[in-house]
Amino acid sequence: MLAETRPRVYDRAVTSDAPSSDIPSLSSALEATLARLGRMIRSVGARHGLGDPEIDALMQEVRIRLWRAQSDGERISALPTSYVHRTATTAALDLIRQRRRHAEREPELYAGPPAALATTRQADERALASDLGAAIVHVLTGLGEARRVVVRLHLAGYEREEIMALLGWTDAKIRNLLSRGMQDLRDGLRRAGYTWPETR
Amino acid sequence: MNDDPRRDTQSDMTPDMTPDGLRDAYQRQVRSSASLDRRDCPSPDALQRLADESLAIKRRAVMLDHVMGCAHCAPEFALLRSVATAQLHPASTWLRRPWLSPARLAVAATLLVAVGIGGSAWQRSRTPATGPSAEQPATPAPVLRDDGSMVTLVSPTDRVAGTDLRALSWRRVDGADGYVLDVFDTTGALLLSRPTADTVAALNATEVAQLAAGGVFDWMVTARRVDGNERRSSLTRVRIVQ
Repeated sequence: MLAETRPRVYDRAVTSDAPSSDIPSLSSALEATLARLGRMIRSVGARHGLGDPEIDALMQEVRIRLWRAQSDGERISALPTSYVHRTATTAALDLIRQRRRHAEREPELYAGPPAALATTRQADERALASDLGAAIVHVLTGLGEARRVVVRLHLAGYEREEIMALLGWTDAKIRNLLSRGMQDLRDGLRRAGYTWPETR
Repeated sequence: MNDDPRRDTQSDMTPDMTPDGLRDAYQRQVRSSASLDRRDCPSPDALQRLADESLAIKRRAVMLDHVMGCAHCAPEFALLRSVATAQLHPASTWLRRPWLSPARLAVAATLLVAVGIGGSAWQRSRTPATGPSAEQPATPAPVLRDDGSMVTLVSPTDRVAGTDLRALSWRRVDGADGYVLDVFDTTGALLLSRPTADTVAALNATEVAQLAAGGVFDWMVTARRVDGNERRSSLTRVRIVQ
């Protein structure tokens, strides 16, 4: 049953006795296309805390889709950028849908954060960071929505220009909300007992 | 917080209050507060519209407020946003933005070089002669239960001696009625593809020699479930050492 439903790409590569002459060019064209896309996705993804496994899974999905859809390297090289991006977008959406379905069926796998081994000192540091994180979230809940969302984006690693693009607000508005929101956050943390080194 | 004994007794164990420290603490908190209930989460399609900036502006703030505080939505959005950004803002577009004028870039480049030289010298002065090399980070990667890709590869997953390379193994996937093992070289060319019902694929001498010849290979396993769905492992790179 497996052999009947396997993607064409595997059949092409495996069933021929001698390597077909178009496979290297297909592979190199595919890798060149993916390298261009992958560099950009990785650079943005890293800023947003996206791990390599997530991006690797996406790139592999894109690789397989392009491989299935295009029969030779020349066609892959000629693919418009928009087509490759569209493929990446649908692949990312399908990955997310697939994981949500899986999480619904097997919720115990998604019950909490991954367990990690830690030394006592690491555990202490994490406990302190966890206290601070909880205090940050607590202070944020008391902010107005506009300030809160801008500060959340900032804390999640998004640059001001990207926050501007995501919210569709002006730079001046974002700058104002971020400045006031961060001040509110610092004030709230001070009230909770946190201090900054220069103020001690 | 002054009543927390840890802060009084351990002067060096204070939380990191720098901007990076606040970010790290916030992101950890978000990740650790994963809820099983996702009824309030936006659909993948809504997340996509948010990521590609096509969602109505008046709806974006509310949705982003949820996404940035949700352990499930944040990484999903980051993935979609990374793809969308690659399309919306290619490098040439960012470089044409007025705030990235040639004069500012020149100043930034000068500062970068200065910081790089200073930072490198500082780092050399602090790194012991027997310290880890740049290629081997001092802190090991966190031990994760699963990266979410459903099929977990067991061995090899990082480095393996050529003489120890006899089989590839992975964890059983519930409901799977078969697996397909695929091995690629670093250019993405398929070296080996094998359907199997087992979770171990023994390699013969020819296959071992083929994999060892390149020094590095990537492998993944696709599990086919009885309902027709597929689950795929992440692509894992293995280096063969002597």
